[in-house]
Amino acid sequence: MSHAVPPVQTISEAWLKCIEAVVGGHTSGRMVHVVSTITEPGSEINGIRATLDTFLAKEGLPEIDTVAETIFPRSLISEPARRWSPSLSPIEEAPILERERELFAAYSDMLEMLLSADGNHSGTYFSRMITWPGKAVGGVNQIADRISSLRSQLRNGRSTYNAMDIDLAADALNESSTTVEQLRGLELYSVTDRRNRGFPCLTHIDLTLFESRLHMAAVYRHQYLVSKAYGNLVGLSWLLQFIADQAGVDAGEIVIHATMADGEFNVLGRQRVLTLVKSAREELDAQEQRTP
Amino acid sequence: MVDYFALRLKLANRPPTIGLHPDGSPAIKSLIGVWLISQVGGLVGKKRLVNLSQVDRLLLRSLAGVASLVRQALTSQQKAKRAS
Repeated sequence: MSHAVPPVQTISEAWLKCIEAVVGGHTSGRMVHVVSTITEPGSEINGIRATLDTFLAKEGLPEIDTVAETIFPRSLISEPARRWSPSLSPIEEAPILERERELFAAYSDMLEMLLSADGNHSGTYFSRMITWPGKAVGGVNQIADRISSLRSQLRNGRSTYNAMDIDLAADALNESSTTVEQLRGLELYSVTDRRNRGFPCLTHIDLTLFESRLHMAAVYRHQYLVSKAYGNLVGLSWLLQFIADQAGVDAGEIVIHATMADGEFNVLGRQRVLTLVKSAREELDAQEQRTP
Repeated sequence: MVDYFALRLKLANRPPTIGLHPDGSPAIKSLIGVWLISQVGGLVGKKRLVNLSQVDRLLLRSLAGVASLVRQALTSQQKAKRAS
């Protein structure tokens, strides 16, 4: 049966409440159709992250940031950057456009080598986003296209209305079939893929601009709640923030729909996973006591 | 080569290194390690200078580790050229 985790502010709470629901109620440690919502993407509770990172290191699994960078390679973007706005002059806009161009170029330079890593022969998440279908440079850059669509909406809104009317431009996005088509989500899954499991677990990212905030929904066909989920949430938050900054809008909420949420009992052992979840819960309780 | 990599990161305005690795050189994110190798690969005309499936991932976490991977790859490339 489906399960909706109540919306929470932080990545850490979303991860913890999702895994608690899955491993607490089912002896299999799995559940179908679990939906989680983060209202402030990017925000975290340090104690929970540290607890999970310590567990991952002990198990020889990739740390949270390494998983996050498979979705958005934040190490490759220059900091800090000014947010794009339709009112910027070409000179002011140049470094923002350069930041984007550099990111795509740096990743493209690495792509051939990245594909030589185990598990990457079908492309990486980010390569599928910036050069669909992800195995070679020169494919469709879905992120650049989405940023460009968002910018032109803001530009049009500004040219037709005053600053207050940017919201109307957002409404117009939903009313114009042409624009909705341009703003469709990020495709990560090939229709010819007939495997039951395997890359990509993340199959679709949907972006919705509403009242000047950019919201994201991500669909996972198999979400590994211990080894991957937290890093996935961090990576999606970075991706949303980047697109929002480059397009001159605020980042909204992230909704994750895991069609299969997996507590990984079969690989990591039920007791070890339950102990991890208990430790993370103690961190959350301690945090809540500190901030009434 | 470690100094070259440090300079390359600075010139590219990449995020700073993340402390000191146990091997004594600056610690980096593994993705930065791959990017540095790709830069050398671009210079020598071999985009896949290193096969990541055959690499100890821990070597990608420090500038000295990346330097040793690059040296090894360049030596192999030179040997292969001489043999052909």
